[in-house]
Formats: sequence, C-alpha cells, structure tokens
Amino acid sequence: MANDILIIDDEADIRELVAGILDDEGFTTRTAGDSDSASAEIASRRPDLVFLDIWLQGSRLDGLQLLEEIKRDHASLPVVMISGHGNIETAVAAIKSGAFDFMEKPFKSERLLLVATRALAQQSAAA
Amino acid sequence: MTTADTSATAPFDPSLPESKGWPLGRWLAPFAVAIALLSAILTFVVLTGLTRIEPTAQVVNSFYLIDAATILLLLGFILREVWKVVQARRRGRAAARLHVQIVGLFSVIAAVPAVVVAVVANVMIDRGLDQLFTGPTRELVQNAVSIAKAYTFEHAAAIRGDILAVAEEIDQTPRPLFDQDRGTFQQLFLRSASARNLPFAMLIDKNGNKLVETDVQQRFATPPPEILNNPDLVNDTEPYLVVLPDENYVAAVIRLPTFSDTFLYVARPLDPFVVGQLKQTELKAQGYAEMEAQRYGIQIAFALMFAVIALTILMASVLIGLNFADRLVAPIRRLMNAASTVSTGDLHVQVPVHRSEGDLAQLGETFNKMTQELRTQRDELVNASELIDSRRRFIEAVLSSASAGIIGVDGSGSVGILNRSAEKLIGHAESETLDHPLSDVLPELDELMKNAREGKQRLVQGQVTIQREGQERNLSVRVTAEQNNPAHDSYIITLDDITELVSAQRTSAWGDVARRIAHEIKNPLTPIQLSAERIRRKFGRVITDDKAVFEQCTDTIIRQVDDIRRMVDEFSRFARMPKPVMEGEDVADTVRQAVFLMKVAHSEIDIEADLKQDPLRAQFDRRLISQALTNIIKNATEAIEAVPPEELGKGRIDVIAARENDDIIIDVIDNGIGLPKVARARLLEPYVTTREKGTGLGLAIVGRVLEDHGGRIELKDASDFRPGQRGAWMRLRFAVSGHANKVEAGTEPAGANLRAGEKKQPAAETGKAAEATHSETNIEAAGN
Repeated sequence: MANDILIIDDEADIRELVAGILDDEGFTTRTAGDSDSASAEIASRRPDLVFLDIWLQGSRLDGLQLLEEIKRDHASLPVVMISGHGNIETAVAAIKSGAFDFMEKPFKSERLLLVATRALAQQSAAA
Repeated sequence: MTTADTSATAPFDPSLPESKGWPLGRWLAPFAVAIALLSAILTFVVLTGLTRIEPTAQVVNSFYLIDAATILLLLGFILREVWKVVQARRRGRAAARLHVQIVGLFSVIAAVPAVVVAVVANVMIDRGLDQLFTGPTRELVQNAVSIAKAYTFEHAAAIRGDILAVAEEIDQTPRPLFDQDRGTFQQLFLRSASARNLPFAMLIDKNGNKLVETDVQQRFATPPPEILNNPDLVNDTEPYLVVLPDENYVAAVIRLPTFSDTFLYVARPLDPFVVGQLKQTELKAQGYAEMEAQRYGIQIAFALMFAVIALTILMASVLIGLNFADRLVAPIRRLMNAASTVSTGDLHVQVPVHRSEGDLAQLGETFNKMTQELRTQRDELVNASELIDSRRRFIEAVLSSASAGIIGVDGSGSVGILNRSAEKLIGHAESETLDHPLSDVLPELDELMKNAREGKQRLVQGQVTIQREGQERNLSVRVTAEQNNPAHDSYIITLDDITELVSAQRTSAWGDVARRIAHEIKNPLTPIQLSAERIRRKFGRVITDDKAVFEQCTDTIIRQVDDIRRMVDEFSRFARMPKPVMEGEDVADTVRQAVFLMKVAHSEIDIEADLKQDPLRAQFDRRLISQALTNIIKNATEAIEAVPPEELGKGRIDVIAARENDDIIIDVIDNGIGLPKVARARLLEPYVTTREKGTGLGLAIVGRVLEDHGGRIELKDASDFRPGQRGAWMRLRFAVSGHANKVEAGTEPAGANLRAGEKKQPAAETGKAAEATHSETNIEAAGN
C-alpha cells in the first residue's frame, strides 16, 4: 500500500508535527519548507499524497501555484490543502483546481489521519 | 437680459387725437380775425373821413353792422374754443387749467389796454368837445355873429332914419307939386335923398310901378307887391327894413301917408367885403350850432368805433391766445400725460419732439432721455435682482441638498438660518430653532463657539458628541466667522455627521485586530494542538503512573485551544458578515418562531409576542433577522438573569412587531438591569460589552444586520415605554423594502473597507459557491 506522504509547510513546527503524527501511524513522510524544495522532492520520487499549505511564506510559488504545477505534472497525485485562518474561500478555490480535500487550521489529529487514509485508499484504488 | 434692450420703443403720443380732419375750420378763425380787423380799420378810416366816402349815418351804420357781424363771428369761435377748454377741464384733461390761465391772461392783456384807451379817448373827446362848445370858442363865434348883426342893424337903423326923414320931407311937399311939377318934385326928391346919402330912392305904387326915382347907378330890385300890400309889413309909420346881404345892400320901404298907395323905397349898398365876412360868419356860426347839436351823436359814434375796435382786438387776441395756448399747452400736455403714465410704472413712454416748439422740445427730449435712462436702470436692477434671486435659489438649493448641516448664527448668537440636514441633526424643526440662541438649541457647541469668538482664527474645528432621541451622534463641527463687523461676528457652522464614519473607523480598526488575532493566535494554535494530541497518542500508551493526570493535562490543552479557536472564529465571522438575501417574508411569523424558541429555552421568564399586524409582509433575510431578534431576546434574558433575585420578581420580555410608515419595528422590552446611561451608542460597536463573559459582538452583529436592511437598532429605556419600569427597550428597525431609503453616509464605505481588508490572501478572486459556503458557515456560527 502506497504510504509515501510529502508535507509542504513553511512552518517547521507544523511540518514536523504533521510528519510525526503520520510517522506514528506508520506512514512514510518527507517534508519541504518551500516550493522549490517541494518540487525537488516530487521530482526525485513521486509521493502518494501531498499535504500542501496554501500560505508558503518566503517561497517562490505560493500553495495554489504549486498545486497547479503539481497537477500539471502529476494529475493523479492527491493533494490535501491546509488552509490558514480566514481563507476558506481560497481552500475552496483549491478544490476547484483539483485538490483532493482541505483542512482548516487548527485541525485535529483524527482529521489529519482520516484525510490521509482516505486519500491514500483512493489513490490505491485508482492505481 | 430680456427687457433691457427694448430700444425699439414706439414714440408715444399721450395727447388725444387733435381734430385735423377739417382744414377749413382751422383756417376759419384766422380768417375771421383778419376780416374783423379789416372791417374795424375800414370803419375807423371811413369814420375819420380819410376816404372819399361820405360818413353819412347810413354808411356808418352799415359799417357798424358789418363790425358787429364779425365780432359775433369771433365770439362764436371763442365760445367754441372755450367750450372745448371747459369740456377738457371737466374731463380732467392734462394742462386744461394752464390752458384757461393762458387764455385768461391773453384776454386781460388785450382787453385792459383796449378798454383803458377807449375810456381815455372818450374822455378826451368829451373834454375836447366841451372846450369846443363852451367858453371862448363859443363866445367868439357868438360875438362874430353879433358883430355882423350889429353892423347890419346899424345900417338898417341908419336907413330907417333916412327913410323916415325923406318920407317926412316928401309928406311936407305939397301934393300938387308931385302931380303937376314932376320935375321939381323929382329934384326935391333927389336933393332930399342925396342929402341923406341915399344912393337910391324911388317912389312906387302899390303895384310896384316906379313913379319917381333917383339916378340909377345900381340896379335894386323893387319890392314885390305882396309885401307892399301887406299892411303888417309895410305901413305909414314904421318902415319895413330889408337887409339883403346877397345883393350887398339894405333897403327900406314905407307907405307915404299923404300919397295914397304910394311907397317910398330906399336902398343903400353895403361894403361887399363886410357883407361877405358877415355871410361867412353867419354860415360858420350855423355850422357850429349844427355841430353842437350833433355833439352827442359824434361822441356815441366815436365810442362805438372804439368799442368796435377794442372788441375786435379783444376777440382777436382771445382767439390768438387760445391758439397760442393750444400750441404752448400741447407739448406740456403731452409731457404731463407721459409723466402720469410714467407714474403708473410704465417707463416705455416717449413723447414726440417737434423742433419748432423750442425749449419745450428740449424738455421733451430730456424727458425721453430720462425715461430711457430710468428704463435702462430699472431693467438693470430687475436683471440684477433676478440674478441675485437665482443665486439665492441656487444657494438655498445647495443648502437644502447639502448632506452637511449648516447653521447661520448672527451677531447676537441666535440661529439665523439652518438647513434640513441641520434640522435633522439637532432634532428640532426650523420653527423651533430660528431666532433662538444657539446655546439653547445646541449647548454642545458652546465651547467651540467660545473658541471661535475669542480666537483670532477665522475657522475653528472640532468634534462634539450630541445625544438626540436616544441616539448618540458624532459631529464634526467647523465654525467659520463671517467678519462683517468685528464686534458682532456672525458665524456659519457646518455640522458633519461622522457617527457612521467614526463607527466605521472603529469597526475597521477592529477588523484589523480580528485579523491579527486570527493570524497571530490561530497559527500557533495548530502546533500546540497537534503537539498535545501527539503526546497523548504517542505516550498515552506507555504512561502508566498517574495516567489520569496526563490525560487531564492533554485534554485541557486541547480543549482550551479549541475555545481559543472558537473565539477567534467569532471575531472573524463579524469581520466578514454575509450579505443578506432579501425575500418577501412574514415578519409576524419570524417573530413568533423566535419567541417560541426562546420561550422553550427560558421557561422561567414570561416572553410575550404582540403582533400588531399579522401577517406583516416585508422584504428581508429571514435568517439574519431571526438571528438578530434571537440575539436581542437572549441579551434580554441575560439582563434579567443579572438582576439580583431579591429584586427581580418575575422576569418579563415583551416583543412587539408593527409597521411604522415604511419601516418595520420590532420592540423588545425587558425588566432586566437595563442599559448604561453613558456611551450607549458604543454598545453597538464590536468588542464593547457590559457583561463579564460577553465578546461584545452580539449587538454589533445585530446592528450590522439591521443596517444592511436599511435600518438600525435603537437603544432606549423600558421606562420610556412603561414608566417606572426597570430594564431596556431595544428597538429593531428596518425598511419594509429591505433597502435604505436614504443612503446613510459611511455605511457602505465601512463595509467596503472591511471586505477589501480581507483580500490579503492570494487568489482572492473567488466564485459564488465559495461565498455561499462561507455564508452558511457564518450563519450557523452566529447561532451560538
């Protein structure tokens, strides 16, 4: 079962925590702090799921632009958007652009795991 | 600019149309005057005997008749003219009085000298005639006549003596001598005659036959037999004397008593010169006597002549005077009529100007110029006043349409003018405020006015807060001095209602705060929560000692984080109020449902709905209004709960829905702790609360909802509704149409600011679906 998850967030705390929680549950995780390193990670090995923060501070591309790039190169790769405060509208826009789902901060571990499991299961089914 | 250039004013002749249709009539009067004068002069000439025409009574009388006729003719003309003048005067025609005066003056000037001269002349004539017929002249004439007579009488007396003497001598001569010796007798006779120096003597019989005669050197006529045979004339005692001046002799005849029917006849020639003189003297004396007899006739004739001439001249001068007066008065009359027209306000008057009228023509010209000037000036004035009027109307329109309140304060500090916006702002009608001192009408401005009066600046600005009809309003005030008179400046006060602006500024400021909170608090919340959860998940399994404490701590962290998140959510929700979706709904039903729900939730409080109209249709977003009403009722229940139980009694909330003109009004009256007196309006601002645990967003959200429905929330006291009652009276007001009738300044920009502020996130352009979703979320959240 595919369980390679790439987590892209500019905040190291969140990035590491999400990765840690997923690791605890047995998923394989990688992390990236900006769009360029994320692109590099994806290029090096296609992950099975991407958690992508919409707001990427200090990055060349923001979350939505990166989403478009990912979708362009890997249309079937599920991307779950993590929305910051007060920008549900952009999260909804992301869904339209092809995101699998979105989570509004702050979110609970259960929701993170549920979304991850669902996305991977769908991915596996599709594969 | 319309009335000014009426240069084409028709010449105006105010005088009545003169009768020009009868040229004969116009020439008749001068003609009559000429005839009268001519006949008078002719009469004079004839009467004075300067012509060959004999001034006999008949001639003179006919001349007088002609004169009388011409005078009557003139009189007729004069009467006609006078009649006209009298008529004119009766009709009140202009200058009729002047007309009469001029004619009168002319008549007097003409008549007085004529009459005076006539009287003087008559007196003179009388005096002259008196002198002629009395005194020396008369005596002279009579003397001449006496002398002439004396002369003849002397001759007669002489010849009488002579004839008596001759007769005696013949008587003494014996008769026979006569009969027989005629020669001797003759000689004797001759001697006797020549002795008496009688050049001629003869004896005649009764038939006039010569019997004896002396030498005849001169022919003497024999007396006719009738005389001889008349014994009264010829007798034998007294001779009959005859003076024959024409024959230049005196004769005497006497009957000889001794000779029967024989008469002595003697004659003596007179001096021809003396006789001539005598004859002439007698003639002259006769003429003189005749003249004296005719004296009164002459006097009357002269008087008549004077009268005729005087009358003629008088009539003529009266006619001329009338004519002159006509000519003189005509332009004056025109001027008077024109002037009276001007006095009625019509300045479009021009009098015709005839150069021949001289000074009056100049007067007319001046008058025309004057009216023209007046007209021009009046037109300019009218135009100027129209301009001022239009400016005034413009300014009034500007004032009344200005959204800012404008108040004019005069030197004494009373309100001189205020516009509709000012009326609304200060909450008094114009009639209540005009001429009232400003300090009574708007005491809040006292300090600014003081500054304005004391300060040197022309403009004083400031902000005041005024309380009117339960609403607090923030006004930006500008006081501008109108420096007409330094001692009594008048001021223009401009009031800008910046309540909305201030509240928008506060809201906007709060929006920023909300965003910062969301950003700064929500972000770290995620790692905190995730950390706590991970700790619990990862180490919950391995911790065995005091596991309960571990669970409690992690749970507390997670719960508190969740509380913080909810609070931040509530802030965000207010910052991004959904737009209401207006639909035709029933207010009554909405109220009923909301009240029902709150009744269920708070059974310990009496919550009563009073629906004045049912159903009550209006355009509104049912969910938002229901939400707002629920919020207000909830607030009321909380206010009742806040009252100490010993004071409370039974909690009660009245909800009254009604329609007032174009507004729907929902009143919520409770008997809770009531609203604070101070800074009530700020309760509507976000984050302002009187309760310990309140977020301060409830009323702000209700206010926003009503604002979006073209209404507002009014905060009052329950005592206004039911005297003496404790508690608050919240009035929710929104437009039946769902739209604000009047655009409240500041509302829209404030909302726009808030929304613009949100668009800091990338890819802000979103679809309607997202909006809708967002709305849903907020509404549900607002229910909390």
